Amino acid sequence: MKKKAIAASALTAMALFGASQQAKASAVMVPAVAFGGGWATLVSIVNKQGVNSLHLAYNYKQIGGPASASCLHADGTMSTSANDLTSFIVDGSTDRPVPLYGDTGYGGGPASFAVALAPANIGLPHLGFLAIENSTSATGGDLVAEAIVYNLSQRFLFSQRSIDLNHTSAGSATIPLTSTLTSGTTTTFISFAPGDSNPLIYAIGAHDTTGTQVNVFNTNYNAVIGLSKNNNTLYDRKELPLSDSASLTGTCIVIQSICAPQNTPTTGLVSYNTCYGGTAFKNVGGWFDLINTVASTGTLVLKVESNPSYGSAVTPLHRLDYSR
Amino acid sequence: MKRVLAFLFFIAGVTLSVFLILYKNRHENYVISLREFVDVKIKTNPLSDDFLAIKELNKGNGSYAFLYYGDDNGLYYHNPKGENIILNKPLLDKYRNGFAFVDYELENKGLYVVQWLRNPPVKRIILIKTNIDGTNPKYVLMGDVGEPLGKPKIVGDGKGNFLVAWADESQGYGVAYALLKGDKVEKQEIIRPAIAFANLEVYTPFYNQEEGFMLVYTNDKEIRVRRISDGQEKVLYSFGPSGIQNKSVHVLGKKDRLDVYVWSYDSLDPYANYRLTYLSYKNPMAEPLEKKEASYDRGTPNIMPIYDYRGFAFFTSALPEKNKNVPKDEDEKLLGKRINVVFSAEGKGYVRAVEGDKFNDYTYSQLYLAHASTRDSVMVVFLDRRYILPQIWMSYIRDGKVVGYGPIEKPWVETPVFGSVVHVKDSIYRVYYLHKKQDGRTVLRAVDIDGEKLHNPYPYPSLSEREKRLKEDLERFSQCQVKNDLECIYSYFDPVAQQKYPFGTFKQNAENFKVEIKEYTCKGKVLKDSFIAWVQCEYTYKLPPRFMGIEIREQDRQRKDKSSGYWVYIKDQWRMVFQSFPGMNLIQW
Repeated sequence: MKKKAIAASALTAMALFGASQQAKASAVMVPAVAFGGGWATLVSIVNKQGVNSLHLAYNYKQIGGPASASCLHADGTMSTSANDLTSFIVDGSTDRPVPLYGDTGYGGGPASFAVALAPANIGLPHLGFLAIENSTSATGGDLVAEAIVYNLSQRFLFSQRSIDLNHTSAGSATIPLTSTLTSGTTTTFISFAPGDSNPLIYAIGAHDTTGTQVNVFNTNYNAVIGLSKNNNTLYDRKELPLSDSASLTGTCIVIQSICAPQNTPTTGLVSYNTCYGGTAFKNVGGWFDLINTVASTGTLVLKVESNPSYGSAVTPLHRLDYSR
Repeated sequence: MKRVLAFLFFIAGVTLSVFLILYKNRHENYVISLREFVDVKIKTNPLSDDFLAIKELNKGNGSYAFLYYGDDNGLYYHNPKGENIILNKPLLDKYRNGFAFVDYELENKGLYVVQWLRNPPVKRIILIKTNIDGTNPKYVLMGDVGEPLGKPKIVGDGKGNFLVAWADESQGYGVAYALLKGDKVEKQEIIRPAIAFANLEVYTPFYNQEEGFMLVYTNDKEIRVRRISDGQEKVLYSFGPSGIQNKSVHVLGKKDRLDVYVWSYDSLDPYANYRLTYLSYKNPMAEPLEKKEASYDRGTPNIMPIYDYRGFAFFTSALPEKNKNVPKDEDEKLLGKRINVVFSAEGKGYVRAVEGDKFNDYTYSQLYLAHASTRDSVMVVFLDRRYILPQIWMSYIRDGKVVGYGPIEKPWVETPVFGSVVHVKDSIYRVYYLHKKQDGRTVLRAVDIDGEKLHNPYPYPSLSEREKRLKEDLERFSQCQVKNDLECIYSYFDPVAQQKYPFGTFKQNAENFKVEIKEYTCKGKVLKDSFIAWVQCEYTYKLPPRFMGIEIREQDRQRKDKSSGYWVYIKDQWRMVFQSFPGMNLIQW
């Protein structure tokens, strides 16, 4: 097996980008992978330690379709080696990486993905998350990933780095327990939106079929997500309390503007009237507590700030603990 | 003598002709007059609480009067002489910002204005006393019992006494009031009825000769009225077992007529059952003059009740009737939901603000802004997005029917989200709005509109013209993609995207992309008779060997892909709807 060490400068570049971690991550998640509808994603993985096989799993669905639609799933393995740098493009036609520098075979796994990335209408945008783990060892391995999501016709792109996952055994990478939004628990959502920029809530339903652990690989594709504002109160940055009753539901993956759009004024987490019709929330931002309203589901909530003037960023709202 | 007479007849004839020409133009044009207030430096993006027209002083003879927040955070009064007078200068100098809300009472040429100051640790209600000319404004601070929370409201008895009320959170949630003689505070108290903030949206100071000053407020169980003189209370309405949950309560009136609207709903579903209870009092300590109930099969949690109209009436937003809102084909599915501003009077069914419009009968997306009314007529001002860019439209309703509706500006001249209306006389209403100038600045304007003549005088391109144009624009856009003509590609982005994604950034990103487009073709379809199209493109492209620092395998560089998305027709051209995140359009309609 031919190996090629990564040039030190390339690794440094990744470190500067923010890819360096404080603890070793034997499993990571790229929170937002987009393809179809003019979007594609370039994913890059660095295997900093001697792991020979990676397991990749996608959960995704069409954006703009019904919020109640289940996720689709695709997963498989690929071979790798120490200090391996791999990149591949996710656009609905390819879903698994091929190593850059000569590693052959698929680490003992199947030659192709168990379920291929096969959206019904590739012309429409799809969004999901990608989990990557060391597929053979429980705690060995040190992975880092980054992704660039791009829209060709618009010459528009945004990048993101991976989130570390707890990796207790092969095929069992979980979102750290302290960060999962279980039923009835709250997380605080803060948005300081400059005028006309409307941040998005991006939530991933993260429980497996047994409901006992939040296993990202076995995420139930029908996992129901329900988010509500605690007591329906919210505060804008002028300390003005506002209230409305908008809440949010969906299946597996949900993405929604904080401010409800005008043509469906009760979707989104803040109703159109409260956001636009005479209050300052949209223009100056504010905060509210989000609670998970669905029993037995863990939900990971991410905030997406998307403003073309500065780009997009995907940030977990939960504190993510590193573990060794 | 004959010459003199002939000359006089000539002059009379000329005068008569001029008069007839003017009269004819007036007859066709619903804009009676237009005034632009260049010296009014109103704050950027004002909210409805940042402006208040003084009803009593807005007259057809060119008298304009209003209160507004300036871009320096000062509270200003534009008096009927046309002067802009700052009312709270000493406070502005001391505190700089933290001011909000405005209400007024006009009494015997005295003008009494209230506002709120929240600049921790200072949190007060402020009463400013001046006159119609705005001379010598003097202020007094109230609310030293605690923390003013909600907007202050003022009512006077016509004899120099005032009642000011506001929401307070100093000792738990409560409603506070102050009784004043002139500008001297005689008494202050907090009523502590509220369990949660939601109860604090309703508090209304009221006056009638029989009972004197009263305060209407809610707790989680009921709507109550308290007579200030002796603290005697009475329940006006009980919410029932679910309390104030899933209800929207409005109490209107300052003197002589108090209207209570309780709007209930079982869920937030736009097709849920919505119910209205209406109570009208001359004296809230006595029995109501009127009590009515009505039920509706659709709506939203908010209503905007109309006060001066005869009987009970309100605006809300609604989707079309359920059976009419089922998309009949793919095109209608893609066009999405249609929200209208609707009017209802005396329990009758909803009437759309644009009732009867057949042209572009597919996209509505209307947002209510303001209204004014008389016993017989209502003028409503709303934001309309049927032509994609937000524009203020007006609709005039008389005797429960829509007489006419029309835009305040020419097609595709964007109007900011702000409006205020006052009745001037007969069928003439004055609409205050912000006019956007070519250079992007906004200026306050007032137009006097004759509701009886209101209509849409502007032509729009026919469906076949739009279809032809779509084909041409898509062809050119595709060619520009292959040529990598960045200015051309950018010119096809929607105007909201162009505002937020400057050409410089776009050019920079394009240069970082270093992508080569080999083929690019699009085909599109105008959806029904709307200004929206659905476009599908296919393209082949080649990525560079390193893309944003990431190395790409040679075999992966050449790619083929396709996309589908919306295009919109704005200002004589079709434009691509930009997505700032997968599936999330920047421009919304």
